[in-house]
Amino acid sequence: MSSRNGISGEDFRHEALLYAGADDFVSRTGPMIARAVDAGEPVLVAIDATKIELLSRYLGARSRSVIWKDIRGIGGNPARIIPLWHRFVTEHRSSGGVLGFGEPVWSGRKPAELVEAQRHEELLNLAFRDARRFTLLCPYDMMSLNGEVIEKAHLSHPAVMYPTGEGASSHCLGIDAVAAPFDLPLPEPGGRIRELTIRGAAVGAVRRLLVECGSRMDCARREDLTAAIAAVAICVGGPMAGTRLRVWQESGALVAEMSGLAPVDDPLAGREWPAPPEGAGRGLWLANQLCDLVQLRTTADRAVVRLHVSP
Amino acid sequence: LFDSSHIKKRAGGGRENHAQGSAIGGGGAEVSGRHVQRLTTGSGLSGSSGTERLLPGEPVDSDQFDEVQHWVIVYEELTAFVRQAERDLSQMLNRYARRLEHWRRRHDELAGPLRAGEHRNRRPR
Repeated sequence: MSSRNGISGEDFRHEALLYAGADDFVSRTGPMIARAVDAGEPVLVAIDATKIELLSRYLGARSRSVIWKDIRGIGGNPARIIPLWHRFVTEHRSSGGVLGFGEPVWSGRKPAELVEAQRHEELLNLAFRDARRFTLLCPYDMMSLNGEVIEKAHLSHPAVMYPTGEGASSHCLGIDAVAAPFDLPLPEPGGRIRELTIRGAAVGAVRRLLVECGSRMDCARREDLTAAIAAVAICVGGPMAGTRLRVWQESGALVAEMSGLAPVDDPLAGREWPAPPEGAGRGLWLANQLCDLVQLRTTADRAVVRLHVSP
Repeated sequence: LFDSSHIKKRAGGGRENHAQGSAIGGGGAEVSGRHVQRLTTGSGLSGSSGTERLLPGEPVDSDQFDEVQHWVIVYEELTAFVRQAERDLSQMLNRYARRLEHWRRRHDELAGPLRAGEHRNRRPR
């Protein structure tokens, strides 16, 4: 059964919306949002500020019924986006249908961010597999993104909306593949790497290391990274085993890699809402709030976490 | 445990500020993508304390109630984490301090009072 707006169905619908520039974006998404608003359905749109402006202008008075989020803020770290949708869907669960637009993939993202944004898109299928009447459309700008990125959208979305029509994606990963341990190799860093083995939070030693490595970085951001390392060490690290900590600079950001951590079984760990009270998910959740990017790689017997903090 | 002065809770907006549909960051929040470098006292937030470093994605003075709630929770969780770590360390400290007291007493019983720091130079007999 379709909902009143003709967009949302009974189940979770997750589609990539491929568009060609801002005008195409507005002309295709505007009418969908207008219909949903007119049908009284909650709409959350998480896109960049420029397109928020354009779409608001198109919608006129209807724009006041839309919840707008600047994706470049909340979604800078893609791991913070699923909690946003969780909250939105939960708060409007009694609604006839809810509509969301989320654009976590944009031109100018760093390669590591794009990898995590792709992972986020895959995890959405797992996170909302049981959601009812939730339609989530993820815009991809074909004019500014390269072909490889667009191709990957077909791996993470069960269906794709092209400028000329809509079709199912036969390449979309199944839930089992998404839920399997994510162990995509992380690129080996270049430049000078400083290293330390820590047990527990080891705040003093970590602080000293970060000062050595990121002396020019804002003190508050170094403290944020110290707190993130402590959260991961306490919540994810085994009580006996030491955690290997490596720190380096990468494109102006300070990166800390923690290896020798306990494996993380839950692929959605750190993306819960509200924050879990304990366990690996809590440590990763805290790190996700503190850092510009968090990369988790896990196998059956160990995990690695990379924490990125920009100046 | 940490210098947590920069993660003070500062969200003080109330329900009267809730307006679904207000554009993100109304009143001068980020529009360029990266989080704002310094917090300027926000008109919509009581209790803001001047210049403070923000977390990634933290809007300066959002008037969206759900966002205000979100940041209250984020900072509650962060302060709870640091407080818990402090409590854990404090418990550890108390235990070690009690054991130290025990062994100092035993030392006094066997060899007389130990002056502060003296144990560092002393070899077991």
